[in-house]
Amino acid sequence: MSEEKVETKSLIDKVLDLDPKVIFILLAIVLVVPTVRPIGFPIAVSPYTMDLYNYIENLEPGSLVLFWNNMGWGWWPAEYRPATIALTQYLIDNDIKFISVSGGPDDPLIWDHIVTNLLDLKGYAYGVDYLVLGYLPGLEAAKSSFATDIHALVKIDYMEGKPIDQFPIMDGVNDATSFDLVIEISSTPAEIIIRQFYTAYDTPVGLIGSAGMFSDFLPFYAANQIVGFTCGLRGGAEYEYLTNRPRWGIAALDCLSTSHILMVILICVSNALYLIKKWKVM
Amino acid sequence: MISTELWTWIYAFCVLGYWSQLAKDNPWYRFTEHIFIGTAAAHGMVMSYWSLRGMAIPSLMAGNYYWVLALMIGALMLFRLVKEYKWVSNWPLAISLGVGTGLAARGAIETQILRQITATMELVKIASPFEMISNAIFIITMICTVAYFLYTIKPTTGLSAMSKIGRWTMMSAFGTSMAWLWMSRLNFLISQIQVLIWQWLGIT
Repeated sequence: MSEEKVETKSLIDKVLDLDPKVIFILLAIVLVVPTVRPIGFPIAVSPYTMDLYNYIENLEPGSLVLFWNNMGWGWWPAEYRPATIALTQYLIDNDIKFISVSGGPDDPLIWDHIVTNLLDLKGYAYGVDYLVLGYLPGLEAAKSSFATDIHALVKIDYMEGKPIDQFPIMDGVNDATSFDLVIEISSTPAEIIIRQFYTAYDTPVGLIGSAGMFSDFLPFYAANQIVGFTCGLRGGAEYEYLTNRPRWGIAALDCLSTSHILMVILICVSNALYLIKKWKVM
Repeated sequence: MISTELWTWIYAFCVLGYWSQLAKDNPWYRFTEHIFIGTAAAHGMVMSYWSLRGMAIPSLMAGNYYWVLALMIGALMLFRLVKEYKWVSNWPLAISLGVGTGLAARGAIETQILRQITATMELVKIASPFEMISNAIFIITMICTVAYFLYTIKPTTGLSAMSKIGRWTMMSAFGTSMAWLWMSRLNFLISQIQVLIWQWLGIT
């Protein structure tokens, strides 16, 4: 009979070889608990969200804002919904008109959902105070053509399928210079909208992006090429806080905080154990 | 109270199906994955058709016949479906790339180079002590990062040190990006948990 060799693992090895499923379970706990029982962590507003808010605050009633969207249904509830709803509602509260145009196939439908279900329109009339244009494929080419001559590119709207010339909101709206602010809601590189609207026509640009776009947006913000921006759920929560309309963003902040605390603990513990193990071997 | 809406149940079924992959690959996950891909592809096709109907057809009717050329070039993309003539579809791709690059080049130098340099130079100014330190860090790390990419000059001790600082700076920037990306992925999870707990299970 061969002699059986029993391998004994130290506690450090056991922790370092932890099954990822344990981390998934821990993550689920720290996300579910604050969703059911909110903790109420304090919220600090970032300067870039504040600047975007202040710029819109200073727009005159009757100003015209263009939304250029490239959100997608998958990203919409997680990354864009809080900021988009809070900001658009704030435009309505301040009598600012808006036109939405989409660079992604999902976005006209998302805007239909926004204006139909999620906004308090307060008597805003379609075609007079707001307009939803359709999907314009072509990324940079579409943005460039739209900024140069809207009527040559877009013929009909998305919601009613009527010629855009029939809508009062389009009176005198011909190119990028017709807008007081362009807001891109997207995770496409920010330089495209800046190149085609701000650099070419001096039209101010604001950005609503996913959290992953932070590093992409920051250089343009530092160079004053954009008026401000919000990033992901956190940015949305900040905008909800500023406009005093707490919804999905603020509700999710506790989850963001608890999950980040867990991750910091896991990173610190695993690195400390790794170093102890290395030191013991030496 | 648990939801009685069909769409909320379908949402819950799909989300839980996706999550089941965390345990191991299984038919439930595969099924929801295929539903998503199929739905997204069908929706993309319908919206593309509508954009064609909304842009190209009215323009053609208005007498802008140059759209015929655009439609013909676009139609060449369909040759991707025929293995023998797949190479034809490279032409519209080449045209798209050429147009895109040309349009980007128009504003790229000013947007991504000149204005960034101007903004950096504007940081050289007398300000509050904290701001001056912050600006100095920005300028030093910027110069060191650029120094990292100087491949044509033989590295001296000074340049080598600058290049090392540049590398560390970039590592910090990548770390920041990674942290934001982690937050982005968490956002997805949180929004799904919110729907499941609040809308599906009715726990508020």
